[in-house]
Amino acid sequence: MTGATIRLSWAGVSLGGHPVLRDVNFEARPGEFVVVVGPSGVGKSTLLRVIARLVEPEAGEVEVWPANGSQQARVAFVFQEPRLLPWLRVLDNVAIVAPADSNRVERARRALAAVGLGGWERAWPRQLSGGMAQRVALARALVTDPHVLLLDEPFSAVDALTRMRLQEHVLGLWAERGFTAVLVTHDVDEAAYLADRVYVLSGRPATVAAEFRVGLARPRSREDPALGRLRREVLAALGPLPLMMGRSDESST
Amino acid sequence: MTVGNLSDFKAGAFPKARASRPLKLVRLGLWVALPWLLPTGLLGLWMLGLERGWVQPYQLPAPLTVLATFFDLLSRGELIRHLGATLNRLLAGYLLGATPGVLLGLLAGSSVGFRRFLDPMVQGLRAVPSLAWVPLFLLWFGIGEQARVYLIALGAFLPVYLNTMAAVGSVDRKLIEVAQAYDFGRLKVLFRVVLPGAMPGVFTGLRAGLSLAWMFVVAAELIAASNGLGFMLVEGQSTMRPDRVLVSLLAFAIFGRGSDTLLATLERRLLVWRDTLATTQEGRP
Repeated sequence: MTGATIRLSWAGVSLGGHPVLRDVNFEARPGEFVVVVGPSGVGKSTLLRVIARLVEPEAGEVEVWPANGSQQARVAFVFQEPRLLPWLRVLDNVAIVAPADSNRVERARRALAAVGLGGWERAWPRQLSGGMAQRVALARALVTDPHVLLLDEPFSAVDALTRMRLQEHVLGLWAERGFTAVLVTHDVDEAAYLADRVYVLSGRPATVAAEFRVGLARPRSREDPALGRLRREVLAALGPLPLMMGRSDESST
Repeated sequence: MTVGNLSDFKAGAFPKARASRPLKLVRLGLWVALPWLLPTGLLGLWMLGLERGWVQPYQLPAPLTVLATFFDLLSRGELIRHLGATLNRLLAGYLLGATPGVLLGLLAGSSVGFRRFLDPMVQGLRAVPSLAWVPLFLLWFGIGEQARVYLIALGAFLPVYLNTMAAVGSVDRKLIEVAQAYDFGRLKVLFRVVLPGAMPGVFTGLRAGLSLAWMFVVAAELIAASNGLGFMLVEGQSTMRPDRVLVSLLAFAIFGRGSDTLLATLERRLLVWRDTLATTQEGRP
């Protein structure tokens, strides 16, 4: 499975009459891990929704095409909350989005095993911890065999340790399967650690304020001083916004 | 806080912990007996009242007389006949009312246009107390089974419709967005996301509808019927047989409660996924 190219050219979006994004130029190459950072409420999630075609842009163009010549790119979405259907068991939650063929249950089983949840097929969503539920959501995204995986602050609602584990999980699956990943976060450390390329969104309506290419080899160390430098650069690109809150550390919000 | 204080606090919170063993048994016995106290007390008062002549048997027959009448009616098949008639029209009317209640409630809840079309009319009809329709129904359908069944259907329809519509409106928008992100078709969204999400509210409506259906079956039988438990009530009154009235009331109580328990069991079975106090006792797989 190879990834897809995503390109937004001069994209503009309004929600409820308010301009949210303006003149956004964005690109992700096949198999690339792109992270979008920006302060809360700037329009990062809207950007993902545009890529997923949940929101139509009113200006500019959005193109997503698979690298392997498929007709249409399969795009999977992992939300901030797991958003599992509470009336379906874990296995059915994954199987319900799988392509409708005779293998769908087997595919769902394998997707669950890939996120380390083999044996939890019969559980109800309410019986899972936050981190486990988010892994089911990840399995649900993977079962569609996506060209593009969109992740909307997927680790923001879990504790620090679980967050690190989930990050490793996503990185592992990404390295193995080669999909294009676009992750949205307000955590600058997370962005620096995960990304091949970082986009900084800011302004109102938001546009791309800066773009960083991260040439660091993988697997990376969280203590790498190069990550610290990148983090400072990204924070600088985010501008003085966090200071308005009386704090300088955006990653703790 | 020191350890000593902590244990004091515990003893204060659970005074039973300090009670001696026999005292504990007395407490337990009292706890078990508590719900029986009032009914047995009333039963005693009932018998005492008859003994002392505070009430006359033609007003309130002795408990044993009621029991005897019950078995008499049972053995002659009269009770079964009336009960059957009541349950028959209850079920027919309930199905006739609850089915469109769920379907129209689903449609009105999920389509703004349909709600705008239908809801004002239903709200208008709702403004009329349902029993006020009785004379019109009798005029239209005659004093027959049809009028009774339609009346029960009307009573059951409204709460089912209203609760279903509200429940659809309360389905989590975020789950709908998941369905959109994964390209669910309209029917798949309706049956895999909206309907299950609305199910708790639908059941609230179904149970409210059932209780209204019971109310209307009594109303219908009191006014115009030649059989049924409601007819037994009227007949018992006009023939001065309070024992028959009481047997009928007893049957209403048992079967009314029984039908609700049936629905409640179905609800629990179908909604095991709910994350509520009632379901969290179920263990992990």
